[in-house]
Amino acid sequence: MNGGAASPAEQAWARLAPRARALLATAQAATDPRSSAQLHEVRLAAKRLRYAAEVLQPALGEHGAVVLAGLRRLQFVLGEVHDLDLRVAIIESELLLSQQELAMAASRLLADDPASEAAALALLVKPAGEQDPRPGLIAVLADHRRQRADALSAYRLAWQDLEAALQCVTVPGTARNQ
Amino acid sequence: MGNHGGSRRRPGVEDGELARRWAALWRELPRATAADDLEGVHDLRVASRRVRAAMELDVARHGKGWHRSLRRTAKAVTRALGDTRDCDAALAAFVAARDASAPEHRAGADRLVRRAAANRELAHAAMVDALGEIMTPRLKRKVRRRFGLPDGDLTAASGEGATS
Repeated sequence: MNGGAASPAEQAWARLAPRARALLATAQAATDPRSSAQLHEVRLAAKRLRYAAEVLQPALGEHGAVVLAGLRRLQFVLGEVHDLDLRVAIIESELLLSQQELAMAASRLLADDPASEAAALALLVKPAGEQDPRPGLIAVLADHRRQRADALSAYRLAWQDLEAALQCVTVPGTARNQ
Repeated sequence: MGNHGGSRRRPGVEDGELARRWAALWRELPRATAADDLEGVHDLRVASRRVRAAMELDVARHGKGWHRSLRRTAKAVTRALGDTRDCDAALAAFVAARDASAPEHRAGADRLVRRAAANRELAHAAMVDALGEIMTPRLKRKVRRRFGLPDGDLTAASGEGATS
């Protein structure tokens, strides 16, 4: 601001600045990439800034388009991480349930024939053909772990670009006035 | 048009813009509550976030209290849709994983699809109930009164208070 009346662009950027600062602080506090909760907070802060920026977009100029594109990209990759984390929890839960079901089957086997210890143990540790859900669950889980690592790399790249663009929003006298 | 009273202070968001954003919620509602329209849930959720963003920016014009209850209402819409949207995404991903799975992995992938489908059914039923309680004729009247929305914009797609 130059002491006189602020331009519409300056006013618009000034209204976005608190949300931009909140996003920067949230992202900088998200130091554990394994933490779904931390990344979820970053995603929510990005959404708040993005939807506010969309309302003010006509006044934001070219730099607004850059920031919005960065926010959409960040939101997309964090959405991927969020969805993968939710699915991993479902897969882990089904894996646990299937192990419990096999444990109960082993127990029933031993109830019928207490001497069938080897068969009961095999039931728990060896895949029981195509009807055993565990190999499929493990395969899907492994695939999700790989996808999450990829999504996290994409997040780091997206954040790197957006962070640079957001400095212009939060530091007076830079690109926000263009 | 909107009820500005004597509270105009700083530039906010035009009533017309707020009205359009609220109207989008009713427009998307029938698709979101349809049993099998995955995009409808997503679109209504986005619409609810957009109306929240617009009202938050409008605080400068009217002060914090003016929009408070409507902001809470819009937030409740966003929340009501969250679980269903997550279940939709999980179901689509597990169906894709099952379709690409080797025969020896099919049993596990099938199990995930069944679980996700059951989760989705429960979440969707809860969502329809919640939206029925939130998006009432009373809310519609309030939005219409406050932002001066023509009747047709709110009733064309959904009818009074309909959620399914």
